[in-house]
Amino acid sequence: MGDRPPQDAGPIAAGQIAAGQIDAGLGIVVNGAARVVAPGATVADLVSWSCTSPDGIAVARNREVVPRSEWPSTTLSARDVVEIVTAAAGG
Amino acid sequence: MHDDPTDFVMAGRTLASRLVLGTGGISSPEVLGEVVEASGSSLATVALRRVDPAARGGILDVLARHGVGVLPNTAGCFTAAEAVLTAKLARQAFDTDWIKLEVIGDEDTLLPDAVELLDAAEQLCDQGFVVLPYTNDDPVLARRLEQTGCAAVMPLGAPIGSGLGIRNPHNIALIAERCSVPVILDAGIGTASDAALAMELGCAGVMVATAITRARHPARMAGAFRAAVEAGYQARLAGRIPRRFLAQASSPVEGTPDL
Repeated sequence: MGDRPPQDAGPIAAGQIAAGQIDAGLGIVVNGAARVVAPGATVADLVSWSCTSPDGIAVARNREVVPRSEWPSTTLSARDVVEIVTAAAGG
Repeated sequence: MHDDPTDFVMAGRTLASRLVLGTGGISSPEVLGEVVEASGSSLATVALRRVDPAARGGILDVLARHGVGVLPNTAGCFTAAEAVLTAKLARQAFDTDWIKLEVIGDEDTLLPDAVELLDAAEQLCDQGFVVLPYTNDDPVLARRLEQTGCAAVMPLGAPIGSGLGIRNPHNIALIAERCSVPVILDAGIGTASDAALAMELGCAGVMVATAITRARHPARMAGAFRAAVEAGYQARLAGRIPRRFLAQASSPVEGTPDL
């Protein structure tokens, strides 16, 4: 997030940082909102924090689709911009 | 009622209904279920949007429960790049290669941006998508989209959500006459008679969202559209009489009594 402090912490990372279990979080943007996640957090982690079910979900990381099969192995980097999308009424 | 001489086939998939349902504007999953049931539709569009952790689930479940296929769209995209990425996300999310391609030029008219649309259609067809482009009522652009490999073309009757009906019936008839892929009238329909007209003009199907979802009684209107699409299709097959300038008596002249 450059010099802008993260505004909000992800559910798991927040606790880990507060407990001093990790040195620092990674600032990323998820669906337009700043988040902090623990180093090593994956796309699969983000999906599980954001959705009750992974069905009907797709993820773009830095404007590239992350295939479902690669969610667990795709670790997040600082300043990643992630979009997690699903079906909405439309068209 | 005669049997259909030809099924409604797009990209090798036979659809039971010629009415494609748009889910935009639907007020709840319950109403969607009623509308789907009344419409008889076998294909319904959905948009791709950010997950809302607080959202009630539902739209995909409702469609699956009624055996309705999901047709994701690229609504809200202004560039070919956005539309292509959206289509790829939709393919991941819904496990379908089908995409209703929308690339709009501005937010006031929501009219298609022809240049970006054709660019996106080419990229998506090259990548194996089944592309159904929302397009202007332009016979030349429709041909270009068909030549690109699109599985159908979806010309507008009028701007999205306007309810103005079919503003250029001649162009719609030209498109239907000159395209060999299915032509599905999309956008602008206000009421059931507009859908019947589209079918009479030679369209293979009609897509309706707002006119159903924002009607006072959505499920009743969905039933009306179902009947209208079928009526228009049968009328097209039956062959309308030519228009005449003067009257032609329907009762015989011969044998008229001299009174």
